[in-house]
Amino acid sequence: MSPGVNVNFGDAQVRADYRITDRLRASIFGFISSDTFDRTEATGVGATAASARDALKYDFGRAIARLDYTTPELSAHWSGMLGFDRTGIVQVDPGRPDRGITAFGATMGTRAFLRWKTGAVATTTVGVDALGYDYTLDLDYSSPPGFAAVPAPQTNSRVVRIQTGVAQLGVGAWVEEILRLPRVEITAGTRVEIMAYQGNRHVVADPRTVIRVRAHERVSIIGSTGIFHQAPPVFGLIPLVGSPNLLPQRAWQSSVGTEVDLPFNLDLRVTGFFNRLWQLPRASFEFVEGQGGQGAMRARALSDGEGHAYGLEVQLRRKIERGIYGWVSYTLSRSERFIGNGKVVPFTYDQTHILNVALSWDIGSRLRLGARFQLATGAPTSLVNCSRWTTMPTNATCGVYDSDVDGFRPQYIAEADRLPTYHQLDVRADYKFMLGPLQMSAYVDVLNAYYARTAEGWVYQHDFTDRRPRPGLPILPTIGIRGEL
Amino acid sequence: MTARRSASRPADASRACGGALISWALIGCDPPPLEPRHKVTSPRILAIIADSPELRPGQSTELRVITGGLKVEPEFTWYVCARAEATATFVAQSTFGQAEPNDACFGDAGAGNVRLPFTGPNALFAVPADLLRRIEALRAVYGSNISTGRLTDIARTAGLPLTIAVEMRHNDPGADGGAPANTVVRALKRVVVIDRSQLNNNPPGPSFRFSAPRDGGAGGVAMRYVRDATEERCEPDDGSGPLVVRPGSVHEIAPAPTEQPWLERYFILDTFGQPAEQVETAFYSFYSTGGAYRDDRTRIPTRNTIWEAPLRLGSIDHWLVVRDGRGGTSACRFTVTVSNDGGTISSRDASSLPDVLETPPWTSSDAGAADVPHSDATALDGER
Repeated sequence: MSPGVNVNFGDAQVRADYRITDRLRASIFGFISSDTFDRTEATGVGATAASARDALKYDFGRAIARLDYTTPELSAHWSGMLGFDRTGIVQVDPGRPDRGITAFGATMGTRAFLRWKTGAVATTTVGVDALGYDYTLDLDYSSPPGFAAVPAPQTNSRVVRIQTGVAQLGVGAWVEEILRLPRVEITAGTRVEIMAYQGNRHVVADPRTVIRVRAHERVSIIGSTGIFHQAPPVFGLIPLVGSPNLLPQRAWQSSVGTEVDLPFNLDLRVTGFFNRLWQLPRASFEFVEGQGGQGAMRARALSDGEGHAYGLEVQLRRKIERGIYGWVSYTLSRSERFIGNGKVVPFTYDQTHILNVALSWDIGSRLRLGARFQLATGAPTSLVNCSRWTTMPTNATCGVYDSDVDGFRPQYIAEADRLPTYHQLDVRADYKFMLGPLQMSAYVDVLNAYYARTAEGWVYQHDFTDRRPRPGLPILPTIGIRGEL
Repeated sequence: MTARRSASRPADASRACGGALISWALIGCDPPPLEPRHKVTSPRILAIIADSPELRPGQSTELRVITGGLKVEPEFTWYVCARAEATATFVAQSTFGQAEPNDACFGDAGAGNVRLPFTGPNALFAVPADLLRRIEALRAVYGSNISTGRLTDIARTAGLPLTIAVEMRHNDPGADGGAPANTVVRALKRVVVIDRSQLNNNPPGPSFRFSAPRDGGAGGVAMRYVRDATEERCEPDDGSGPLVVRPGSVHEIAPAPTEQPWLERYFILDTFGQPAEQVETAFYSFYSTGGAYRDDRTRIPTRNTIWEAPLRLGSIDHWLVVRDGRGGTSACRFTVTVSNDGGTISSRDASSLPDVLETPPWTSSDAGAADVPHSDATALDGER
């Protein structure tokens, strides 16, 4: 293997729409993507020189077909999806067993509903849907240490090979009733789903309702609340890596807000929300009794995570007029997780303030300019309790030297620090032209146009007495061309 | 010395900014690099050795620390405890779950902490004969989710890891004469108490070859391990004097490829609670008070490393620590003198390096700073 980096990515899509009759329309859409990252680097010196490699390959494809039948009194819809996902990860280091994941999965889904008027002010919808996947996995992964294990330097942990499969199928049926009164619209419904995965079966019921009140010809007030369930993530269900016994994730989501039509083609939306979360999967390395007569083992994954999120969203949008379209949105939010013993910490992706500004301007019929700016609070990160470079009043040392692993273990305070404020400007120019029968579009896209030196995290000195920001995206220009028939 | 450090920082900053002058508006100035882990510029604990790292109930183990960077005699405090290694190791940054503090074993207040009656770099710990039958100790390590009967089985088949913690207090004045007084350095290691016939042994004392890279490990000087009453050191096998090298010269340090006889096979109870056989791996760690290592931690089969001597003349201390990956450790210190008369070791200057070193990934920022002590040229104290 010679040192170097190889990056390849590509995708293709096709779409066709067909009006069979005035009432019946059909469409198909296909998408396929393939991304590869492969890096090899020299390691070791002299007579013991070698090379290390890490590679990632991800391919996926989807085919979606859709039928819509519409009359003044009734509408019917059916859609179906077939797809595949293929993931390959390889990590090779001299002196360690190779690690890697090969996963191939087929996925399918279908959805159908029937909607008709059941009275002067009422509309009824009934529907069914199903979504499933079947993955085959081959893993060589670094397992957590066993019992009484003394950790080794350089994370030279035991590598375990697991060949297994993960299958999940959810079949749901739902009914929804919409009442349209002069100033009030009420939508109420319930969804019942059977979730089956890894030999476990769960039946969940999700009641939901939305109320929309037109307080003024330009002002509407909307309130909603409902229960939502979702199957655990696929990698959390892998036997011996996660747990097949994870429960469906559950959320109670509620919001109340207003929509205001303003002059100059502007509309304003303000929404407050509160979400309560239960049965979240979490990693656990506690020793527990195994099931079915197995001995003690590490738990790996449990379903007892809880949290909540709440906040306020404000969006001011200008509908497209004279070629100008844009919006400004601001979110003030807090997402937290309960980590036990009554302690609440910010969620890993919690951002207190998020400001987005986007503007698109069509200059004539061929040229369009666009820009997007984002400003956001830095993500939470655990604080290394070290008085030498934080302002925290503490006498603690920065870390304890672990002689077995030959490295320092810092004293973390969970999610007590934040990365610096994140900001980035992206700009784009599109130029349209015809090439024979093809409608062509050439574009220049520049991410991080003014090279904001954002931090993706911290890189610590070996003894945690100093740190540097891990740089984020550089200025990343992309030139592309697209054709449509 | 404080003045020297202050003088060196603007020089570093100007180099970093000067090189980026053209793109200054876009990029600005890069901060100085983080201090490499191999550079011993202040008092440190480099290893704790337990002799032996595994022991049966009723046996005792001799403990000793390998230190570096000390200028005055420190005082040590030793503790032993049983702690929940499971959470301490893995969940430190998890969104959920509380990690057990890594300093839980330090101090007299911790539940179950035992203070050993030693204040020097050596200590002795005798394991109670009934330790593997003490349920509270087993629960402290394995948690409360496992039945008492199962805990006893685990203690018999896998053993019980105990944490050895040591605090090193020193009033070292530091290189600039103004370092904080009564500084505390903390370190820990584990010993496993298990009642089985084949106990883990420490690797033999390190032996290696110190040579120029193009010698491919064949030439140079063979170094052997020597232990006396005061320290463990490595010295030339042929009895010749200290190693002497030229400033800026480059050398390969090649641990003897003779691990196979001492790499032991052993049984573990893996993460799924199943018995499994493993083989030890040899890990090498390199430290020095000057110069720069290309790799400061290696493991077989890439055991060798490259060391670039500093431009400053003087004596450089090195330490080589070898670990077996499950608590077994041995170490030695050796000295290299940087001198314009260096000739003991075949050496070459930077203009004649072999291909692999023409653009070395490690950079020694002391080039051109021969009048500045090596340890100061990359000092980061201004950041603290």
